[in-house]
Amino acid sequence: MSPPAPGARTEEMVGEFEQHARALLEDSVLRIDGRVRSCLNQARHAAIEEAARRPSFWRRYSLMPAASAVAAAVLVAFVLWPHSHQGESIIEGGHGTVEDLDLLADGDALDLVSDETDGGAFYEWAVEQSDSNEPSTGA
Amino acid sequence: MPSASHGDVELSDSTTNSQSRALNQFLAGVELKAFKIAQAALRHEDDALDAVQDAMLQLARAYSERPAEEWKPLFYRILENRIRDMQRRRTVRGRVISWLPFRNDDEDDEQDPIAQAPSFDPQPPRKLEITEAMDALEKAIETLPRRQQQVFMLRTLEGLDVAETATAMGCSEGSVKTHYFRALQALRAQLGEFWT
Repeated sequence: MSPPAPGARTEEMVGEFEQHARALLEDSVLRIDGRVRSCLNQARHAAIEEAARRPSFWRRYSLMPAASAVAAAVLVAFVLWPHSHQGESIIEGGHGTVEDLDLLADGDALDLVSDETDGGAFYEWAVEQSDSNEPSTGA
Repeated sequence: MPSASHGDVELSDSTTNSQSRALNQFLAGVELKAFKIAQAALRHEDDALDAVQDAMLQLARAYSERPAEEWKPLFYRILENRIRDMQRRRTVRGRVISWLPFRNDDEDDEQDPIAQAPSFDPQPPRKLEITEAMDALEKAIETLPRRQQQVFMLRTLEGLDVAETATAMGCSEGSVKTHYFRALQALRAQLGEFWT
Protein backbone atom coordinates (compact mmCIF):
# COMPACT_ATOMS: atom_id res chain seq x y z
CA MET A 1 0.00 0.00 0.00
CA SER A 2 1.47 3.33 -1.08
CA PRO A 3 1.63 6.26 1.38
CA PRO A 4 -0.95 9.04 0.86
CA ALA A 5 0.10 11.97 -1.34
CA PRO A 6 1.21 15.16 0.53
CA GLY A 7 -1.84 17.08 -0.75
CA ALA A 8 -4.19 14.43 0.53
CA ARG A 9 -2.48 14.45 3.91
CA THR A 10 -2.90 18.25 4.15
CA GLU A 11 -6.59 17.98 3.27
CA GLU A 12 -6.98 15.29 5.89
CA MET A 13 -5.30 17.51 8.50
CA VAL A 14 -7.50 20.45 7.55
CA GLY A 15 -10.54 18.22 7.81
CA GLU A 16 -9.48 17.05 11.28
CA PHE A 17 -8.82 20.61 12.30
CA GLU A 18 -12.26 21.72 11.14
CA GLN A 19 -13.95 18.85 12.94
CA HIS A 20 -12.10 19.57 16.16
CA ALA A 21 -12.87 23.29 15.93
CA ARG A 22 -16.53 22.58 15.19
CA ALA A 23 -16.81 20.22 18.14
CA LEU A 24 -15.24 22.78 20.46
CA LEU A 25 -17.45 25.61 19.22
CA GLU A 26 -20.58 23.50 19.56
CA ASP A 27 -19.49 22.60 23.07
CA SER A 28 -19.03 26.28 23.86
CA VAL A 29 -22.57 26.94 22.61
CA LEU A 30 -23.91 24.32 25.02
CA ARG A 31 -22.11 26.08 27.86
CA ILE A 32 -23.84 29.42 27.33
CA ASP A 33 -25.23 30.47 30.70
CA GLY A 34 -28.84 30.78 31.81
CA ARG A 35 -28.94 34.58 31.81
CA VAL A 36 -27.99 34.78 28.15
CA ARG A 37 -30.41 31.99 27.24
CA SER A 38 -33.20 33.79 29.06
CA CYS A 39 -32.43 37.09 27.28
CA LEU A 40 -32.37 35.33 23.91
CA ASN A 41 -35.66 33.63 24.70
CA GLN A 42 -37.29 36.97 25.50
CA ALA A 43 -35.83 38.52 22.35
CA ARG A 44 -37.23 35.65 20.27
CA HIS A 45 -40.72 36.06 21.71
CA ALA A 46 -40.58 39.81 21.09
CA ALA A 47 -39.60 39.16 17.47
CA ILE A 48 -42.43 36.67 16.97
CA GLU A 49 -44.95 39.11 18.45
CA GLU A 50 -43.60 41.74 16.10
CA ALA A 51 -44.10 39.45 13.12
CA ALA A 52 -47.63 38.53 14.25
CA ARG A 53 -48.54 42.20 14.71
CA ARG A 54 -47.84 42.91 11.07
CA PRO A 55 -50.80 42.29 8.76
CA SER A 56 -50.27 38.99 7.05
CA PHE A 57 -49.80 38.57 3.35
CA TRP A 58 -53.32 37.18 2.93
CA ARG A 59 -54.93 39.83 5.11
CA ARG A 60 -53.16 42.61 3.26
CA TYR A 61 -54.12 41.24 -0.10
CA SER A 62 -57.73 40.58 0.96
CA LEU A 63 -58.14 44.38 0.89
CA MET A 64 -57.02 44.49 -2.73
CA PRO A 65 -60.51 44.37 -4.34
CA ALA A 66 -61.78 47.28 -2.20
CA ALA A 67 -58.62 49.28 -2.86
CA SER A 68 -58.90 48.57 -6.58
CA ALA A 69 -62.54 49.72 -6.64
CA VAL A 70 -61.66 52.99 -4.90
CA ALA A 71 -58.73 53.55 -7.27
CA ALA A 72 -60.96 52.86 -10.29
CA ALA A 73 -63.61 55.31 -9.01
CA VAL A 74 -60.99 58.02 -8.53
CA LEU A 75 -59.61 57.37 -12.01
CA VAL A 76 -63.07 57.53 -13.62
CA ALA A 77 -63.86 60.78 -11.77
CA PHE A 78 -60.56 62.25 -12.90
CA VAL A 79 -61.15 61.27 -16.53
CA LEU A 80 -64.75 62.51 -16.59
CA TRP A 81 -64.19 65.79 -14.73
CA PRO A 82 -63.21 68.03 -17.74
CA HIS A 83 -66.37 66.94 -19.63
CA SER A 84 -68.59 68.74 -17.10
CA HIS A 85 -67.14 72.05 -18.39
CA GLN A 86 -67.73 71.33 -22.06
CA GLY A 87 -68.29 74.48 -24.09
CA GLU A 88 -65.97 76.51 -21.93
CA SER A 89 -62.48 76.82 -23.20
CA ILE A 90 -59.67 75.94 -20.86
CA ILE A 91 -58.36 79.50 -21.03
CA GLU A 92 -61.76 80.99 -20.26
CA GLY A 93 -62.37 78.54 -17.44
CA GLY A 94 -58.99 79.23 -15.97
CA HIS A 95 -59.13 82.97 -16.46
CA GLY A 96 -59.94 83.79 -12.85
CA THR A 97 -57.23 81.49 -11.62
CA VAL A 98 -54.63 83.05 -13.89
CA GLU A 99 -55.67 86.51 -12.66
CA ASP A 100 -55.33 85.36 -9.04
CA LEU A 101 -51.89 84.02 -9.77
CA ASP A 102 -50.92 87.36 -11.28
CA LEU A 103 -52.09 89.14 -8.17
CA LEU A 104 -50.14 86.79 -5.93
CA ALA A 105 -47.01 87.13 -8.03
CA ASP A 106 -47.29 90.91 -8.04
CA GLY A 107 -45.12 92.42 -5.33
CA ASP A 108 -47.24 95.64 -5.13
CA ALA A 109 -50.40 93.68 -4.50
CA LEU A 110 -48.73 91.88 -1.59
CA ASP A 111 -47.55 95.21 -0.21
CA LEU A 112 -51.13 96.39 -0.37
CA VAL A 113 -52.30 93.36 1.57
CA SER A 114 -49.71 93.92 4.27
CA ASP A 115 -50.21 97.70 4.43
CA GLU A 116 -51.87 98.31 7.78
CA THR A 117 -51.52 102.11 7.75
CA ASP A 118 -54.07 102.33 4.99
CA GLY A 119 -56.75 101.20 7.47
CA GLY A 120 -58.36 98.96 4.84
CA ALA A 121 -59.47 101.94 2.74
CA PHE A 122 -58.57 100.17 -0.46
CA TYR A 123 -60.74 97.19 0.38
CA GLU A 124 -63.68 99.41 1.28
CA TRP A 125 -63.26 101.19 -2.03
CA ALA A 126 -63.01 97.88 -3.90
CA VAL A 127 -66.22 96.62 -2.27
CA GLU A 128 -68.04 99.83 -3.17
CA GLN A 129 -66.82 99.54 -6.74
CA SER A 130 -68.02 95.98 -7.07
CA ASP A 131 -71.41 96.88 -5.52
CA SER A 132 -71.89 99.77 -7.97
CA ASN A 133 -70.95 97.55 -10.92
CA GLU A 134 -73.55 94.92 -10.03
CA PRO A 135 -76.76 95.20 -12.07
CA SER A 136 -79.67 96.53 -10.14
CA THR A 137 -82.16 93.93 -8.93
CA GLY A 138 -84.92 96.45 -9.23
CA ALA A 139 -85.84 96.34 -5.52
CA MET B 1 -70.93 36.19 2.05
CA PRO B 2 -70.28 35.76 5.76
CA SER B 3 -69.10 32.18 5.48
CA ALA B 4 -66.53 33.12 2.85
CA SER B 5 -65.18 35.98 4.89
CA HIS B 6 -65.07 33.72 7.95
CA GLY B 7 -63.13 31.24 5.85
CA ASP B 8 -60.71 33.99 4.81
CA VAL B 9 -60.08 34.93 8.42
CA GLU B 10 -59.47 31.31 9.32
CA LEU B 11 -57.07 30.92 6.42
CA SER B 12 -55.33 34.13 7.45
CA ASP B 13 -55.07 33.13 11.12
CA SER B 14 -53.86 29.62 10.38
CA THR B 15 -51.27 31.03 7.97
CA THR B 16 -50.10 33.49 10.62
CA ASN B 17 -49.93 30.77 13.27
CA SER B 18 -47.95 28.38 11.12
CA GLN B 19 -45.65 31.24 10.12
CA SER B 20 -45.13 32.19 13.79
CA ARG B 21 -44.35 28.58 14.66
CA ALA B 22 -41.87 28.29 11.82
CA LEU B 23 -40.21 31.56 12.79
CA ASN B 24 -40.03 30.51 16.44
CA GLN B 25 -38.45 27.21 15.45
CA PHE B 26 -35.94 28.94 13.19
CA LEU B 27 -34.93 31.56 15.74
CA ALA B 28 -34.66 28.99 18.52
CA GLY B 29 -32.32 27.00 16.28
CA VAL B 30 -29.97 29.86 15.47
CA GLU B 31 -30.04 32.13 18.51
CA LEU B 32 -27.26 30.50 20.54
CA LYS B 33 -24.88 30.17 17.60
CA ALA B 34 -25.70 33.71 16.53
CA PHE B 35 -24.86 34.88 20.02
CA LYS B 36 -21.47 33.11 19.89
CA ILE B 37 -20.74 34.67 16.51
CA ALA B 38 -21.69 38.14 17.76
CA GLN B 39 -19.71 37.65 20.95
CA ALA B 40 -16.59 36.62 19.02
CA ALA B 41 -16.87 39.78 16.92
CA LEU B 42 -17.88 42.25 19.62
CA ARG B 43 -16.10 40.67 22.63
CA HIS B 44 -18.88 41.89 24.87
CA GLU B 45 -21.78 39.80 26.12
CA ASP B 46 -24.43 42.53 26.35
CA ASP B 47 -23.49 44.04 23.00
CA ALA B 48 -23.72 40.57 21.46
CA LEU B 49 -27.17 40.11 22.99
CA ASP B 50 -28.29 43.48 21.61
CA ALA B 51 -27.01 42.60 18.15
CA VAL B 52 -28.83 39.26 18.09
CA GLN B 53 -32.02 40.81 19.46
CA ASP B 54 -31.97 43.52 16.78
CA ALA B 55 -31.33 40.96 14.06
CA MET B 56 -34.28 38.86 15.25
CA LEU B 57 -36.60 41.87 15.26
CA GLN B 58 -35.43 43.03 11.86
CA LEU B 59 -35.93 39.57 10.35
CA ALA B 60 -39.41 39.37 11.86
CA ARG B 61 -40.35 42.84 10.65
CA ALA B 62 -38.98 42.71 7.15
CA TYR B 63 -38.55 39.13 6.04
CA SER B 64 -40.92 36.90 8.01
CA GLU B 65 -43.07 36.40 4.92
CA ARG B 66 -40.14 35.27 2.79
CA PRO B 67 -39.69 31.50 2.31
CA ALA B 68 -38.19 29.86 5.39
CA GLU B 69 -35.21 28.59 3.38
CA GLU B 70 -34.09 32.17 2.85
CA TRP B 71 -34.20 33.11 6.52
CA LYS B 72 -30.79 31.81 7.58
CA PRO B 73 -28.59 33.77 5.15
CA LEU B 74 -30.84 36.82 5.59
CA PHE B 75 -30.65 36.61 9.36
CA TYR B 76 -26.86 36.36 9.35
CA ARG B 77 -26.64 39.20 6.84
CA ILE B 78 -28.68 41.39 9.19
CA LEU B 79 -26.60 40.27 12.16
CA GLU B 80 -23.35 41.05 10.37
CA ASN B 81 -24.61 44.51 9.45
CA ARG B 82 -25.62 45.11 13.04
CA ILE B 83 -22.22 43.94 14.32
CA ARG B 84 -20.46 46.23 11.85
CA ASP B 85 -22.60 49.19 12.94
CA MET B 86 -21.79 48.51 16.60
CA GLN B 87 -18.09 48.18 15.88
CA ARG B 88 -18.10 51.49 13.98
CA ARG B 89 -20.00 53.23 16.76
CA ARG B 90 -17.58 51.82 19.29
CA THR B 91 -14.60 53.08 17.26
CA VAL B 92 -16.09 56.57 17.08
CA ARG B 93 -16.93 56.54 20.80
CA GLY B 94 -13.39 55.37 21.59
CA ARG B 95 -11.93 58.24 19.58
CA VAL B 96 -14.18 60.78 21.28
CA ILE B 97 -13.44 59.42 24.75
CA SER B 98 -9.70 59.42 24.09
CA TRP B 99 -9.93 63.20 23.53
CA LEU B 100 -11.81 63.89 26.75
CA PRO B 101 -9.50 65.32 29.42
CA PHE B 102 -11.59 64.12 32.37
CA ARG B 103 -11.97 60.50 31.32
CA ASN B 104 -11.50 57.89 34.00
CA ASP B 105 -9.28 55.14 32.65
CA ASP B 106 -10.11 52.83 35.53
CA GLU B 107 -13.84 53.01 34.94
CA ASP B 108 -14.01 50.17 32.43
CA ASP B 109 -11.46 48.10 34.28
CA GLU B 110 -13.64 47.78 37.32
CA GLN B 111 -14.12 44.08 37.89
CA ASP B 112 -16.70 42.23 39.83
CA PRO B 113 -14.90 40.71 42.86
CA ILE B 114 -17.34 37.80 42.97
CA ALA B 115 -16.70 36.99 39.34
CA GLN B 116 -12.96 37.20 39.99
CA ALA B 117 -13.04 34.86 42.98
CA PRO B 118 -11.58 31.41 42.34
CA SER B 119 -14.14 28.75 41.65
CA PHE B 120 -14.23 25.77 43.99
CA ASP B 121 -16.02 23.68 41.43
CA PRO B 122 -13.69 20.73 40.87
CA GLN B 123 -13.01 20.20 37.20
CA PRO B 124 -12.08 16.79 35.95
CA PRO B 125 -8.91 16.78 33.82
CA ARG B 126 -10.77 16.09 30.57
CA LYS B 127 -13.20 18.96 31.14
CA LEU B 128 -10.31 21.25 31.97
CA GLU B 129 -8.52 20.21 28.82
CA ILE B 130 -11.59 20.98 26.69
CA THR B 131 -12.07 24.31 28.43
CA GLU B 132 -8.45 25.26 27.75
CA ALA B 133 -8.70 24.24 24.11
CA MET B 134 -11.96 26.16 23.79
CA ASP B 135 -10.48 29.28 25.35
CA ALA B 136 -7.46 29.03 23.06
CA LEU B 137 -9.69 28.63 20.02
CA GLU B 138 -11.90 31.57 20.99
CA LYS B 139 -8.87 33.78 21.59
CA ALA B 140 -7.36 32.73 18.26
CA ILE B 141 -10.65 33.46 16.46
CA GLU B 142 -10.73 36.90 18.05
CA THR B 143 -7.34 37.70 16.53
CA LEU B 144 -8.49 36.90 12.99
CA PRO B 145 -9.31 39.74 10.60
CA ARG B 146 -13.03 40.47 10.65
CA ARG B 147 -13.91 38.82 7.31
CA GLN B 148 -11.92 35.69 8.10
CA GLN B 149 -13.53 35.48 11.52
CA GLN B 150 -16.94 35.92 9.97
CA VAL B 151 -16.49 33.27 7.33
CA PHE B 152 -14.94 30.81 9.77
CA MET B 153 -17.82 31.14 12.26
CA LEU B 154 -20.52 30.93 9.61
CA ARG B 155 -18.98 27.90 7.92
CA THR B 156 -17.74 26.00 10.94
CA LEU B 157 -20.25 26.80 13.67
CA GLU B 158 -23.39 27.55 11.72
CA GLY B 159 -22.62 25.11 8.93
CA LEU B 160 -23.59 27.42 6.09
CA ASP B 161 -22.40 26.29 2.67
CA VAL B 162 -20.28 28.52 0.43
CA ALA B 163 -23.26 30.05 -1.39
CA GLU B 164 -25.19 30.79 1.81
CA THR B 165 -22.08 32.25 3.42
CA ALA B 166 -21.55 34.49 0.39
CA THR B 167 -25.16 35.72 0.67
CA ALA B 168 -24.78 36.34 4.40
CA MET B 169 -21.52 38.22 3.90
CA GLY B 170 -22.55 40.05 0.75
CA CYS B 171 -19.53 38.88 -1.23
CA SER B 172 -18.64 36.37 -3.95
CA GLU B 173 -18.25 32.65 -3.37
CA GLY B 174 -14.62 32.90 -4.43
CA SER B 175 -14.04 35.48 -1.73
CA VAL B 176 -15.64 33.19 0.84
CA LYS B 177 -13.30 30.35 -0.14
CA THR B 178 -10.25 32.59 0.06
CA HIS B 179 -11.18 34.01 3.48
CA TYR B 180 -11.99 30.57 4.82
CA PHE B 181 -8.72 29.07 3.63
CA ARG B 182 -6.73 31.92 5.19
CA ALA B 183 -8.67 31.64 8.43
CA LEU B 184 -7.93 27.93 8.66
CA GLN B 185 -4.24 28.52 7.95
CA ALA B 186 -3.99 31.26 10.59
CA LEU B 187 -5.82 29.21 13.21
CA ARG B 188 -3.79 26.09 12.53
CA ALA B 189 -0.60 28.11 12.85
CA GLN B 190 -1.73 29.48 16.19
CA LEU B 191 -3.35 26.40 17.64
CA GLY B 192 -1.03 23.68 16.45
CA GLU B 193 -0.09 22.73 20.00
CA PHE B 194 -3.71 22.05 20.96
CA TRP B 195 -4.36 19.86 17.99
CA THR B 196 -1.29 17.57 18.05
